[in-house]
Amino acid sequence: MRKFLLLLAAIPLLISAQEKYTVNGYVKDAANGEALIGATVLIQELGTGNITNVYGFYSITLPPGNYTIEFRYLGFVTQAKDISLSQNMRVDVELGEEQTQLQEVVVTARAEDENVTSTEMSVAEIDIQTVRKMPAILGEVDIIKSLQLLPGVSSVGEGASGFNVRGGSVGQNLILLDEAPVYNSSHLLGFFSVFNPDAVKDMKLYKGAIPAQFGGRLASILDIRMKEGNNKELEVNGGIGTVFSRIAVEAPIKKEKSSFIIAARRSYADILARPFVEELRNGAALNFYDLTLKTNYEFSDKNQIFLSGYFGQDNFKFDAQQGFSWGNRTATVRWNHLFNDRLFSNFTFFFSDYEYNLEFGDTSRDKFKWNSDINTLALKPQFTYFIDQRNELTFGGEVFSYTFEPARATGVSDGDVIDLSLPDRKAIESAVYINNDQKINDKLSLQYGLRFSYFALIGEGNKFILGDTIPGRRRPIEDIIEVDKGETIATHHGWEPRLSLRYQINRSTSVKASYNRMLQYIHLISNTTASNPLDVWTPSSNNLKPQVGQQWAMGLFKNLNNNKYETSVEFYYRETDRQLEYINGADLLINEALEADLLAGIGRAYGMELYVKKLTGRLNGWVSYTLGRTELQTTGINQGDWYPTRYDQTHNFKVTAFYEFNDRWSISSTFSYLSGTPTTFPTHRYEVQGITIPHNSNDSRNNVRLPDYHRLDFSVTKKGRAIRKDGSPRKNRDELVFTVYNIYNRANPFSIYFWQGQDRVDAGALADTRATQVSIFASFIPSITYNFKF
Amino acid sequence: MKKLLIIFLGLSILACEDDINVELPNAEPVIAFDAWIYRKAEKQTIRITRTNTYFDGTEPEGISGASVAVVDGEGTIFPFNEESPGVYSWLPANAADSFGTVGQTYFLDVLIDGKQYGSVSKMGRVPEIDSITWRFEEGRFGDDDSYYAEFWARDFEGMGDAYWIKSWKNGVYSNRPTEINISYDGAFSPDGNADGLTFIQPIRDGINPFDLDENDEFIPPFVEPGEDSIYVEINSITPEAWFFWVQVIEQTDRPGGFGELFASSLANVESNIVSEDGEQVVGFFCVSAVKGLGRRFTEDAIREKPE
Repeated sequence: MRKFLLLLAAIPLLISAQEKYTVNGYVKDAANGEALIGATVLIQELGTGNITNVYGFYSITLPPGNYTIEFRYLGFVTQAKDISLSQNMRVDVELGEEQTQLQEVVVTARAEDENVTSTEMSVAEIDIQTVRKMPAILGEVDIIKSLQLLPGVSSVGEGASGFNVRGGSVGQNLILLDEAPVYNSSHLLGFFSVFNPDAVKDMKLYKGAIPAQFGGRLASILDIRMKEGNNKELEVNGGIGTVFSRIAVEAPIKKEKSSFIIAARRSYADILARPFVEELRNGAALNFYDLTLKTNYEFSDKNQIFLSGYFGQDNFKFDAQQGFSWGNRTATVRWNHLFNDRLFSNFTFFFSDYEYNLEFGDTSRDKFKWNSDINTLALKPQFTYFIDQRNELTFGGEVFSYTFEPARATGVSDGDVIDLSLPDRKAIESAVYINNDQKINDKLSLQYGLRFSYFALIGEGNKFILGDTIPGRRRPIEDIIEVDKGETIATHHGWEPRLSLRYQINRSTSVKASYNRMLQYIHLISNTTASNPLDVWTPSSNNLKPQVGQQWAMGLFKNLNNNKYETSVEFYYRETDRQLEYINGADLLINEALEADLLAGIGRAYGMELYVKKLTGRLNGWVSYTLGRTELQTTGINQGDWYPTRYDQTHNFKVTAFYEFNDRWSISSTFSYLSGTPTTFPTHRYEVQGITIPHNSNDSRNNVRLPDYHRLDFSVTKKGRAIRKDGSPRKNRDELVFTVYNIYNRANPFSIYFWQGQDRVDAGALADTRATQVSIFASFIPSITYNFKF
Repeated sequence: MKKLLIIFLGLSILACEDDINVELPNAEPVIAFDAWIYRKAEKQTIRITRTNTYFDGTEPEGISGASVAVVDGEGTIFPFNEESPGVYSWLPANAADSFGTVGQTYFLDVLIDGKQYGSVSKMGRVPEIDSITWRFEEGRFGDDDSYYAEFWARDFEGMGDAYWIKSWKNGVYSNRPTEINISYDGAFSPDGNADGLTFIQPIRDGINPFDLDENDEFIPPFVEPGEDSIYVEINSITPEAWFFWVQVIEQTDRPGGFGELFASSLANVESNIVSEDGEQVVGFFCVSAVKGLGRRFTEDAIREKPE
């Protein structure tokens, strides 16, 4: 392998006649040693340069000469270094934060004109500093809810778990935490996301133009990177909110070589309630927490190791024996290695696991216990080869080993034990990819890549041969073939081409276009309005084929007023094949022949996204508007005609604004106006044995729209004094955040359901049927959060 | 699952619900059958109506003049005669005779304006109820202490037995959608291949009425031994009928509040009645054998007393 890489590294040397040298290095934050992702490294004389990667690394190859290199990162003081390039050079820099009053109102942390000059499009990014300032429900800063204020990102409703990207379902998003997939991103059934904002350094959501290194889900990739930990001095961040209390400790282990961060959050309502609620003292529980750990060690200029781990858990227990709990665990080991000045590599090995437990019955004679789990072990080598100033080649591979444990379940009835367990399923997913970022000339740049992915479902296990039936009904099992251990039950594979291009019209304007094809081999099985913690992931098989998605996007990007304003308009069209649907009455839990209850549909989604962002000044923020449509067509549903998905929103308009009065007081506000999502209304009713059953004689799905949704949130932040009375700066900083969610107290509809009412119907009488509208957060919610740092 | 529901109720402090007026999409009514026949020594009824619009709580229009009969696998015809518009009934020849035989297959044969509608059902076996007992449970999270009735019966050996358990407390039939109590081989469903079990606890407990007061607080089904009584019936149903009730529960037993986050889309419940030309109809045909047992809540019926 290594020889091959060296050989590869030598090719450009052989083909380039002129002698060239490489300058490379890391760009870091001077205050804490954190690598700066996406910092601009500009060669002044040539007006070109590069951007640091997710580890803060850059590499530029130039003819020998004298150059001035500029290192820029928004919110940081630009540094210029003069170099005389006559051999390969290592230039590591540390940038200091700008010491202006407005340092906290930085909206983005990247190059100022990145929006226009980068080949990247369809990317949604919010700086973690910005996320912290946005008004959040119950004052709990939430990165996933914050993303929903960007164009193209929505959710099925308040309180719902996960998010929808450009008409994709929740299960079509890949959420990566330090490269390990997180299978359930919610605490408390969907109200809070599982990521501790104190431990997150950077996040980026790819809505389209997804680079070849990513795959496995159709709609989006959310790439979350954890902080490495301050390698200069001890730093403690924490806070007490309405729901969570938080603490994060970071410190150097060996100064500037090694550091760690430990961040923990826990809901604490149950601790406060314990003295008053007897059940909580006797084993009942209602809490959720998460713990994030990371450490790194720089062995040499060329080698650095990162270890990171996440552990999160939700517990709902009625007593010591009964209840419901779920949680994610991830562990990642990464090794950054520089093979030479231009070949950067990273090897990631990770483990990710999602598990839930359900337990009922308070005696040993009558019990039910169910555990379900999905775990993944994976290896991902990735190489970036900085060929020359015009080409940056990324290539690598991934191998995932999945174990699905849909049910380890037992029931006990009056002392008789039954084993309800389903057999585990094992699968391998692998991919190889290559991607080149090429600058053709000053105006045109391209990013093109190809990914080949392969999936195998492996025995031992049962292979179900299903027969055909009326579309929309459970398919009959015609045969069950027992497949031996190690033999394949089914295999799938496919090519996934990716292409994006940018054409720079002038300094502040560019047009971009992209295409990508994605394959998804594992599927989130969920037929409820919002995804819930009991939803299982299931692998592709001989019956369940991989989902296929294609997306075309085009956009116009323009910065105004010397990069003070960023604007963009993007158009997208997505097509999906074999999108999952479910038969009526589908049995999705503990069902080995689950595939017989699944339907495959085709989907299409299209829309326009508008985005205007003001980056600087006392008043800053952004406006986002999405006009969209997302529809499915499934034989057996809606008479085979197209129907909108439950999360389809025609208009999605959002404003986020920040205003800083002075160095102590600031306010922020968000407003959302969203079209009502579709739902299904009945047309008729009939009675069978006294039960009133709703019926839709048109057999239509999502035939009515809920009323529109709108909401205004507001928060005020008061910072503690930054300077002591004697004029010296205070090391300890703190702030109080007052938040009001849903300030004008609107009961926004989440759903409308139809039922026969709570009253018992007398024999021979007919039920008084009604429609009931549910609002999840029906009133304004005030909260206070206290944050500190020392 | 009721306990999960209680979690949702607990979370629902912030949620709110309002009955609202909505306009329903226009659609043509369809023919609805309510054809559940019991092996009982009494009049059996089949109702054939046209569906009402969803909010119309008036008596639906009966379909008159149909020819309605149930025919068994040996060709015996059980004629159902129209007693009022849309209501067709069969009376046993002798007051002591019940309808049908366990293990026999029955065909529904209906002619409406010359068009034929039909279905098939097999009368399954039904186990005896051994006894009914009561169990004390301390109230939790603010609920009152309560006694719960349980019936004791065992599923037959062999897979594919499905049951619908009905109950009456003090003569009042527990007929809310939340109270529909069905079982497959003694457990909730065919998943996990349960067989020959004593009915599992949630199904034994399912005979207790689920009442909420005007503040949506849970009302204990039984407070203390005395005059209260319960009557329980196990009805054998076909696996298709079991699946029918699964779908009915999904469509009618709405959790409300935060539970709506995890409700599935409204969808039509499958009927087992077909027409000769594929016309869409709704409703169900099933022939059930029945075993019942009643018990007064006395001291000696208590299996688990308060500690």
